[in-house]
Amino acid sequence: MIKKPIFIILVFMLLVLMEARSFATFEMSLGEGFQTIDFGTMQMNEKKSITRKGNYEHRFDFTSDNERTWYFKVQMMRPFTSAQHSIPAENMQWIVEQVVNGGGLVSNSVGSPGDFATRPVLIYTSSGSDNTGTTVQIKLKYNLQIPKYQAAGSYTSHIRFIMVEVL
Amino acid sequence: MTIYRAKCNIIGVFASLVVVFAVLVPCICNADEDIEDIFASVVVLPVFDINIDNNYINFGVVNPGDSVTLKEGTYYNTIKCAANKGRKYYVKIHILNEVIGPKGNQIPPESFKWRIYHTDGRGIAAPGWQEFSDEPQVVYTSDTEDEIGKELILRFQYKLDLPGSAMGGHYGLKVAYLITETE
Repeated sequence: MIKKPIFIILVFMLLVLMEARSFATFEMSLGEGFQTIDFGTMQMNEKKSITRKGNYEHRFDFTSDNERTWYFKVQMMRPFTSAQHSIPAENMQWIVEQVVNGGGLVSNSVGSPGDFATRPVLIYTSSGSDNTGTTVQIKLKYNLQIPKYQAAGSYTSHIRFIMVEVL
Repeated sequence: MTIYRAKCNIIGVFASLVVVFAVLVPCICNADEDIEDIFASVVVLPVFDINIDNNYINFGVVNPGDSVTLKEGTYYNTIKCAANKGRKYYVKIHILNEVIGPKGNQIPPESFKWRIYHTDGRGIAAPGWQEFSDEPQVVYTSDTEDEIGKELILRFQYKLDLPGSAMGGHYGLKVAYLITETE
């Protein structure tokens, strides 16, 4: 039914393209910082900023040579929860403290806080050399405001940082 | 027969192109994504606190058989409670030490009465005038809103019904208020 030579050529093309794609770099890594963001103990209505690496908490490193724009986003998968009590996602904020080697755009501008949300929130949009192999470093710190009235307990939250080519 | 074979070949090539591109196009066009999951934690400290602005209930000079209500039409003192343990609690009241009055004169604690003039809490407040007793009495039982840290305000009035057989003179009370998880 299908001519053998044509089929072989098409399969070969497919393999070549898949192989070529596998050599492209597109990665995000936690360059500096801890795997947990621990705000320690806090009182009701207290606000705390966490910067355990000097003036920041995390440094994320991004490398892409896909020649396509990429986006750095953050999503609070689960708000701070303790038994049936929770702290709203927007009570935690991220702040871009510094961008190293990046030519892109910080959504809230450097030093300005942005609220966490249970949907993905854009932090950074790449541009120029960000897309051709330069490693961009983004340093983040975080704020947490405990509500005026909040039940005592140990609260945990799951946060996802995302490097993606879809806005 | 030749036309039929040619048709088959065209369909075959077309089918193979469809199959290959169905695999290839998503592979090429599919956007890359990299994720990093991090967990965050905080311990919200417990609060279990009570504040009283004035616990000395001063009736001044009272004559035998008189009934004296302090600050009639308003309240005499305020207590504020804060608790965020997520558990039911009780506010209680009792007389501290002995009644202050003329020497050698003893009147029963039931002669002194209290009532909640106002509260912003949605829990269960003791209704109307209540007599003091030797044991702590429940003034207020918390609501779930009170149990997650909302400040509770209780404002009190006090009354002395001095028995006709008692001595006239200066009367007062020291009152203790407590917040407890024990009923």
